[in-house]
Amino acid sequence: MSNNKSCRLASQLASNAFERRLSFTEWFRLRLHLMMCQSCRNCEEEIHLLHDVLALIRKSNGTFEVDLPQKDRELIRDALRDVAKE
Amino acid sequence: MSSKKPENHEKAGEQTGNRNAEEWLTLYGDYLYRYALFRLSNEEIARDMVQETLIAAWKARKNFRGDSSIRTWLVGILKHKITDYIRKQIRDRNLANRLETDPTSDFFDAHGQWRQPVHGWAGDPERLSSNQEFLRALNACIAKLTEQHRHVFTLRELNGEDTDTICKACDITPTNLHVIMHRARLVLRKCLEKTWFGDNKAI
Repeated sequence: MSNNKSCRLASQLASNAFERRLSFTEWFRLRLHLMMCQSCRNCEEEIHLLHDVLALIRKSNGTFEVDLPQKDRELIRDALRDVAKE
Repeated sequence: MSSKKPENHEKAGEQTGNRNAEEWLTLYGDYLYRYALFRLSNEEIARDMVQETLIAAWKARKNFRGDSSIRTWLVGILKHKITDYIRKQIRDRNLANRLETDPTSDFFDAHGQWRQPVHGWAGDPERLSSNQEFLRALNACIAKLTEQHRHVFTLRELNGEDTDTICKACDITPTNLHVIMHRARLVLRKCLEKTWFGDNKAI
């Protein structure tokens, strides 16, 4: 990270931290940038929030309420009957 | 067979030995479909995944040990099917290494500064993760990601795969994976700001 002022690079590092361990230099530069930049602090907090929400959704098999349409249900049922015959 | 009154459908199925795929479809069809649709954002593919899952489960019905509920067992199979499907899409079509225009380039100016200030918002992860309306908004935003971003993001954040596994299975370099995840996160953040957090639906 050659440019300490770059928000684009700061947000890249903030995101990378979810996938890999940042080097000390990267970590330090990110923290330094965040100290100076409210927008990047907000961005970092918000991608953390999204990451946490997604982890909880994963754990609870979370999903929204939508029903398998009747025609799809019938298609699957027919396929299951075919397999059962084999 | 037991004369004990079954407490729920699952037990009823087990006790009568009626492990039959059509019954699973009746009992868990909606649940499996929701799970698949949330991760694939495509009704037709979600239906196919449910169908493949029930067929695979029926063929492997002797392997069901009863140490988990049937629903958990079926979701486990479905999760594998979805992971396989997405990996195959990424690998076979070389999706991850395809050069795409950077959807986040509009967010920054030539010096890498935010064009518009990033607003602060907050929410409670526990409550958000079980809020139906929010899950719909989140899913709508994931569905709008590019195919490449959506697939990689889903493997990572919704199926919880580690980065090594994704890189190997999908033939992506770690650098590419990091770039994709960064872009996907920023686009998702922006989308939810518009449709949820900035619209004061915070939970």
